[in-house]
Amino acid sequence: MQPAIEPARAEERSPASAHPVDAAAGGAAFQRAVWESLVASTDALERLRVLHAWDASTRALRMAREGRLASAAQHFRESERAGESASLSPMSQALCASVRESALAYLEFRRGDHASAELRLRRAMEHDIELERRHGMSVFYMHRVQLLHNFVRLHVHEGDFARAWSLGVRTLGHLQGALPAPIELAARRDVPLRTASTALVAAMACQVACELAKLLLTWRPDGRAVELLASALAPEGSEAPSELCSAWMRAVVACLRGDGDHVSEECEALLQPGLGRMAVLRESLEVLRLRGSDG
Amino acid sequence: MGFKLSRYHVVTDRFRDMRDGLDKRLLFSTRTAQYRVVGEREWRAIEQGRFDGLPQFVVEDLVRSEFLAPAEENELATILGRNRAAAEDSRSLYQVVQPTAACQMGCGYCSQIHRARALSPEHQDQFLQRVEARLRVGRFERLKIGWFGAEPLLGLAVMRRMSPKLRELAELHDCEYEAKIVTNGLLLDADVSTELVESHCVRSIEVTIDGPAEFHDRSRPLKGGQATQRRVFDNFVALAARDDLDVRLSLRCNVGRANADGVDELLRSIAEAGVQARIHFYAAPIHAWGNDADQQGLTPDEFAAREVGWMALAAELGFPVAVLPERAEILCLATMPQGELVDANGGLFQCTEVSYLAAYGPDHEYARGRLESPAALDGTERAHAWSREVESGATPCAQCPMLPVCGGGCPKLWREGHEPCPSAKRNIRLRLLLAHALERKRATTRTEPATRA
Repeated sequence: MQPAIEPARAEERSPASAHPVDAAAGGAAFQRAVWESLVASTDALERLRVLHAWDASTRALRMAREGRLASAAQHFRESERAGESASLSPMSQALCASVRESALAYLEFRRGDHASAELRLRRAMEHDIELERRHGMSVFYMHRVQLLHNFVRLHVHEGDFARAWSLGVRTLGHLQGALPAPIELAARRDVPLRTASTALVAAMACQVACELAKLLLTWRPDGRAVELLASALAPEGSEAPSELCSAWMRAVVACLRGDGDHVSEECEALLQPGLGRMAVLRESLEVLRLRGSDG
Repeated sequence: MGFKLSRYHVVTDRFRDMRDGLDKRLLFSTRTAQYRVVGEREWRAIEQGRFDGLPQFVVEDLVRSEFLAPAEENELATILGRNRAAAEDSRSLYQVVQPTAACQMGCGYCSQIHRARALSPEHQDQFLQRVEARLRVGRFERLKIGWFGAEPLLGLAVMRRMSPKLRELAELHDCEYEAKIVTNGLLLDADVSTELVESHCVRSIEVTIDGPAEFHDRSRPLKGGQATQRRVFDNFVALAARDDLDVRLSLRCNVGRANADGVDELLRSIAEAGVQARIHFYAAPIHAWGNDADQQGLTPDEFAAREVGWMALAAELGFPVAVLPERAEILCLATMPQGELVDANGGLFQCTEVSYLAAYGPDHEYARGRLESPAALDGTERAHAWSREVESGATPCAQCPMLPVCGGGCPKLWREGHEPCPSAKRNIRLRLLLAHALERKRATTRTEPATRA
């Protein structure tokens, strides 16, 4: 047997590691689902073109994160050229466009152009709806949820904390199974969350919760905002995708209602150090407790 | 439309892998500076564009590593676009200071005119103001100062006055600060080394030694003709032996016909001193520096052939060796929009190879005025001129597969009618084989204990 290309053996390259949509959506489960849909409906050459466009978007996003904005723009142009090729099917074009627009939104955000960032997010959402409804890629529902999370961040940076809180809490409540889909999601009633894996929904819930926790470090919600969070708690006895988020939400509601000691004691075990990137959940509770004792 | 083999690739001749008896080649993408080992049959398929005959994961890897590019892509535009963007994005403000015009040495290939003149306090202050204006305008995260010569350590008094002010400026603008120095090493004793690292934040020291004494002392004597090698060598080795100074050490050997046979011995003598693991060694061909010094050099082919031998020996002796070139998005001072050099006379330049040279007057295209009447701070247009030149086909670079890793070489030398192509253009295939052999050796060393266990 002839040797293959040595540094890239087949067994080292699962679809999840090979196709990084993490830039736009996050989660190996999401990536795998997208790639499987692509494998089922496109030929090898088309997949290569999509891969090429995604790679360029991923590089661009990485550069934008590093603050290399001109380089990011250059790689987005490369992604655009690859993804808009007339030889791609409408589905592949929409796939490339969704990944690119959501990543470009970040570039605009880094440039400080929030209006353009919002426009990009809306465009990405339109592409996601097309992928979901015309091409049966239900996994893009979760991508839209991710975009809502990005809207939350955008509202925070615009200083519109109440709006960020409202959208974040309604999104979190939806992910936890307590609230209907936020209207901003333009969701159909007949496409429920159950099409996504529990792990993916839980990961997304944690991401949104972290965004809300960050907000709590500097902003105090009013009574209505607190009640909105209370309404987003999964009903007692039901199993929410993320028990960690539920515990955090209960503790926050309790703290904000002024009976923090009782519930936060209950949650302490869940919020011990070791949460890694989610340490902000614990920090937010500590801040709320301190504020409570100050008050 | 499909994919094509990128024009920016290099492939070795076929070789027989003695481990498995198969014929293979090494394929190098200069777009990403990555290489792959490819079976002969796979290479034939790649070369002929028959990608459907390859496993899908292999093709995906080739696409992602940019060995393959979309058939319709204008690759030159992509490479130059990335280079321009990288220059715009740079968060490092790099400024070069020549604190003095003096040098003790009278190197045969140097045409700088040395004299006992230091950068005056007035010029220092004007330059500091210029640096501050740049820090204020640009969004920089780092201020990097290069201390160059003539011999910068003869201008230590200037460094002592300027360093604290430069650090202060960096701090004021929330920037990290670091410096490098290129010195002949004569004054690089223990106290000066300590001072450079601890007081002047020097993080990189480069010294040139042109071989053992019998070679070095012929090309790099004092102006009075006295020998210098022993002192430079001892200073450098003593510095390399210190573990209390966090500084990168580079050893450059300028190689011409007269000293090419001495490079091996230089490497061995460093290794005998036991400090080779600390020293980044490289050989550089003697080139025209406002003179005809290139006439003393090896031919480019000779240099390239011998260089791989020096690399192999250096690696064998335990020096850290960079065998394969890396992607060169930002070429030199001339392609940095804010990059600038000030010489001891207060002259400003966008090139390190122009000051103190009689051949280049104050109107040279890389001159940027004087501190009393400087050019505008922003040199973006000038910095991008080189990529426009490459794009226009003024040099053969647009057609060269090495462009992404060499950036086109020295723009000034091209304009003077020289061909500044790096040695890698001529020996990249041998370098690939060497890199692969070294990688295999490392892998074997890594796995051996486990195998024994």
